[in-house]
Amino acid sequence: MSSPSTYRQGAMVCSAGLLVAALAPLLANDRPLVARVEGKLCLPALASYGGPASIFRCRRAADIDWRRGRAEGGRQILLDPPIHHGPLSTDLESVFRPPSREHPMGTDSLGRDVAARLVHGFPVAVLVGGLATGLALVLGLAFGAAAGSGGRWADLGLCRVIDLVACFPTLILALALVAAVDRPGLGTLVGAIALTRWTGIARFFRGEVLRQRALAYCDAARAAGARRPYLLARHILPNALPPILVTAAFSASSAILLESGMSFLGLGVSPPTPSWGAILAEAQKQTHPAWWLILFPTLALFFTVLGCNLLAEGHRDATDPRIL
Amino acid sequence: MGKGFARAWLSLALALALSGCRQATAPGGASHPAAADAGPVDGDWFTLPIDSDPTTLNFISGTDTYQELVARYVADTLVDEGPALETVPRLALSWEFSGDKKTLTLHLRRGVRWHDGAAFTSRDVVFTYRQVINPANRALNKIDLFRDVVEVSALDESTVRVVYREPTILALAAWSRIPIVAEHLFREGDFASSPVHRAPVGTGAYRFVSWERGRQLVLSANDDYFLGRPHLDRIVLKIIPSRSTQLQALLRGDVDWSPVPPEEWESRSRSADFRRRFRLFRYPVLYLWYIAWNEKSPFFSDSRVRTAMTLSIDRASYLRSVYRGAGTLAASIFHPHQFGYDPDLSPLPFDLERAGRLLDEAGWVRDPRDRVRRKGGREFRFTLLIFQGTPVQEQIAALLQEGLASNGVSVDIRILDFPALLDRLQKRDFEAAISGRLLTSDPDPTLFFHSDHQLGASNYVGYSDPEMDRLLLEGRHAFEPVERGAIYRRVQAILQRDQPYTFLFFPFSTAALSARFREVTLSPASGLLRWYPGLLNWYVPLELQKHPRG
Amino acid sequence: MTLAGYAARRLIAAVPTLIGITLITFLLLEILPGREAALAGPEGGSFLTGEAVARIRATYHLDEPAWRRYLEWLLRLCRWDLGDSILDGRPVSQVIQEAAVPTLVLNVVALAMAFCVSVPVGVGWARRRRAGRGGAGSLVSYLLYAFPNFAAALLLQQFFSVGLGLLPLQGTNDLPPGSPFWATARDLAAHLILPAVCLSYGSLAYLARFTRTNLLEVLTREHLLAARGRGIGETVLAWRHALRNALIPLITLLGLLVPALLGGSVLIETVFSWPGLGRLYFYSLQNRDFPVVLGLTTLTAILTLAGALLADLLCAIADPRFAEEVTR
Repeated sequence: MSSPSTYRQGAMVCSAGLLVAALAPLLANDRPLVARVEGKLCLPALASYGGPASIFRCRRAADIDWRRGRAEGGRQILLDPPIHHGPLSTDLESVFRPPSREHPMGTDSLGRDVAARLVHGFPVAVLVGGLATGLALVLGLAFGAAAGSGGRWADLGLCRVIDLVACFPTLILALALVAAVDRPGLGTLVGAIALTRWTGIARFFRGEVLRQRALAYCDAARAAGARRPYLLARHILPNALPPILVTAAFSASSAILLESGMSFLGLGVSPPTPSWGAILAEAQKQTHPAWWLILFPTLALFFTVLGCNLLAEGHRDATDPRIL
Repeated sequence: MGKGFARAWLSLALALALSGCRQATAPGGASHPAAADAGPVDGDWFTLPIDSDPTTLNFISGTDTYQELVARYVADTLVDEGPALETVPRLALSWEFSGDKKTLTLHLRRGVRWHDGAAFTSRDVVFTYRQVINPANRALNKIDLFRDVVEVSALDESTVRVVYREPTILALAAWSRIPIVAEHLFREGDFASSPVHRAPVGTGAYRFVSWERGRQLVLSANDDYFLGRPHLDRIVLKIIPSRSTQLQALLRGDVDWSPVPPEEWESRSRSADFRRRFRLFRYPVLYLWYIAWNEKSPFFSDSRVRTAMTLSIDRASYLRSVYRGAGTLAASIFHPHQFGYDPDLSPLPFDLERAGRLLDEAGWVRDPRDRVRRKGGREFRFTLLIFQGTPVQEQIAALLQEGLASNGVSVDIRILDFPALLDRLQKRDFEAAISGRLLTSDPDPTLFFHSDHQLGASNYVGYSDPEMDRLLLEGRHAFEPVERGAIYRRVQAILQRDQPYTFLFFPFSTAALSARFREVTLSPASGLLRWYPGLLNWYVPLELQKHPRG
Repeated sequence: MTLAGYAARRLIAAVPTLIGITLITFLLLEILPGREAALAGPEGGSFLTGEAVARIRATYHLDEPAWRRYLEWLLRLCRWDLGDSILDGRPVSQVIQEAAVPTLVLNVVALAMAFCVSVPVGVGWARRRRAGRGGAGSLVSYLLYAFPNFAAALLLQQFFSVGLGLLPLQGTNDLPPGSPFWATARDLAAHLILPAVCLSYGSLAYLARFTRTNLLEVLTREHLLAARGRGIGETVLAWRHALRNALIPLITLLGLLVPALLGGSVLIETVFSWPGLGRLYFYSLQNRDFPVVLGLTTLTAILTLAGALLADLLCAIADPRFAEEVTR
């Protein structure tokens, strides 16, 4: 496997994941994709995106319950999404069903379709993983830049801070932060995960900044009158970008794993948000084997993490001359 | 990559599907309940699993259930609860209240000895009382039981007099929660840090033998027990952290009793093999799951809204399918086995339309544009707090959210850990919260519904109704059962009308016991192990004993 | 500057870091809500009245200002007194010790497994000398590395314990103490397999690849010719070099091991009910058992810093270029 191929495979997997995340409400929904109500064509599934997309609802004045009465008077469903269940629709009559025609990946403890929850787990993973990584990047780059170019004392102080945070076991730190906040929400979770991820980036970027500043071109730039922030932004950062992206990609995959770990322990996303870790937690709490609750979320997690890793590895192999 | 992946995926899925079909094998150990038996004989052990070590064996300061279980057999209380929650004598043979009900005189058994041979006297009772009320001993869940006590004194070697500030119906019940400790063992040094607590001494039917942390606790029969030696030689408490492992240990024969998780109940009760080896028990525990609606919030100050909330969740179906029937629907805080329970009061049904109408009446009307309920410009959207641990809260919250969503109300669910949730409840800093609560055998609900801060310390929702306040106080002082019953029926009717909480359900405890034990009676309220004399009457016929004497 | 000087400088710098870590942990614990409820015990929490809360605050000295309590704790730490666990009254050091043994056993076994499998695999793989990235082996290593370990734990548990019944479900052992030695050892091994496999397969993949990469450098034609000239065959050369180079990631891994022990282990220990430090940490945090949490954090921090220092020192000894860079 040559490096472009790894990169390509990683990119394919990641794009597939992103696509699923973006299209989740169209892939799994109890509302149909296209329907005709009272003679008018409408796209109810699109309305699940919320906000301005609500204009796609069928009738303004009524809320059609598409789960019951699918072919009642005046309604005609023209096209259903591939999985015609929603992630939150419970069905107390069919709890814990193994995979069947109706539910290809089985149902969970409240009769919700596992496939639908799996699909809707993608946006959660992408959102949490992406945002957390982005935040970690910002923090890490800022700290690294300050430490690398701030002079000896700043470097010393900031390095201590970085060491300090790095010494905390990540899961515990994230859990403590989430528990400490008064009104926890998705933002808290993202913040907590980001706070545990940034130190690696900070350390790396600090090293890069120090290294680059010692190079000739920086001296030249400084002689020409370039100020520090300009130097950082215009020269150092772009040069350090490839390995930073690699770290970011690895960070993203570990952020997703961290989120699912926390959801598994019960302190991650709030229910009933479909997170893969939460589905796994449900499986673990049952004494009766419900293998479908374990296998499918695992594969989804694996697939996502693999994609990010392949992307990162491929990128590294392509850009880092030191690795054979 | 594609084809190989698909094949690997399929074979893995296949392997796992096959693994689900496998039956758990049960090793030998047949028992024949129909075999003729010669009456109670001594011998054999009773081994039961507990989730974790007791935090301490200091019977005064301990608060967890495992420590209480050990205390139940190693020590005695003055009185206890019988199978029907009635008060039965234990160390106190008889008792009487004075005319004004402010003085309780207890007559203790004579000739009772501590496990080290010393005589039990009324001084031990006074000593125990002093330790409970001493703040240094941190008897956090016992100290409030003696809130109304003015003085406890020993009239003579076997008579104790307790004087109360005012008459209370809970006077006697309090003494069923206090294991009596020996005064003569704690003469030197500090009570809290005494080494006696590592090897406790009591007057109980079983002596403490050993405690290996993380492994097991062993108790052995006390030959000199005042009711006679118990038949079972030993009680062994094994520490097995998880419920599923406990059940497996039962199947292997490592323990004699195990809780059975609700989802296993059906399959086990249908299995002939299982029924041959074990007896299955199912009984409602004194525990209530509820949703608290904070009346200080703009949403829940109106009882119509609260009623609408209760109507929006299908508790009956939940209990039936998800909880596998392992619970009883609650109409109020009164448990079916508590005194004063009104069987004619039926729980509210699941009725989304009626809920919608009530919300309309209360002014929360659906906005025609986006179908969201609003009142005076404010959207009906609230935060529901739950704690992590068992799946119940998450499931109920999800069902509530779904039911309310179809009625134009949005719910944001937040998980906290248990101490954080309790903290928010106590500070009244929440809009709605799901929690659970142990109930006491006495049904007095003053703590939950009285509007006074002290009396209604657990009134997290801020419920206030003058008639309720009056009824609660009357109920506490009504010593006549008929009168008290009428008062509590009225209380339940008011609770139904006002819905300060959505009373969810009382869970069952389901357990399996090895079939070789005889004289096993189930107390419908306290189960198998936590009533008196309970286990002390159990025996195993000689031919079925696993650990015979000698 | 000598290596000793470098070590001394690092040690001195570690002290403020340590104080900083304990201070942050302390503050974090201060803002965690629900202290009194947790301290009242599992059932006591539900019956908490205002006076009960006041009583608890008085008993545990919660009314004193935070800085004073922190300083008291710090002073006791200097005497190596970590205090007593709030939950069960035993000394924190004892509680930690009890949990440390299972964690150490598990992680040492996992690490050993990773090494014993990855080095030979890496050697054999390098010797095949496929062009480029290594084909199917590389794919497998990517897959293993990416597979989420707690999910793998659940799957393996389902398959081997619940499904096939070959291995025990949870815990460290089923036999009572005092059982014959070999039976106990076998029982322990049976319980260890699944958790150790789950912990090790990730690092296994990484180490195998690392070994292979390093070896490829060495197994060039020039090197081989030179070695054969000295009378050393390819096998010996490969193994000698592999083992020497494997030291470096081993040392780095050991240095990073300690925070990983607590953080990464929580999930595995929860799934397998393994009574280790990770589970202890999580449980103490949930129940607000501050002395234990503070004790564990301090211990982790000390070990991490010491581990990192040791790792750097050993690398400096092993690799003179690194030593020079570090002591500049």
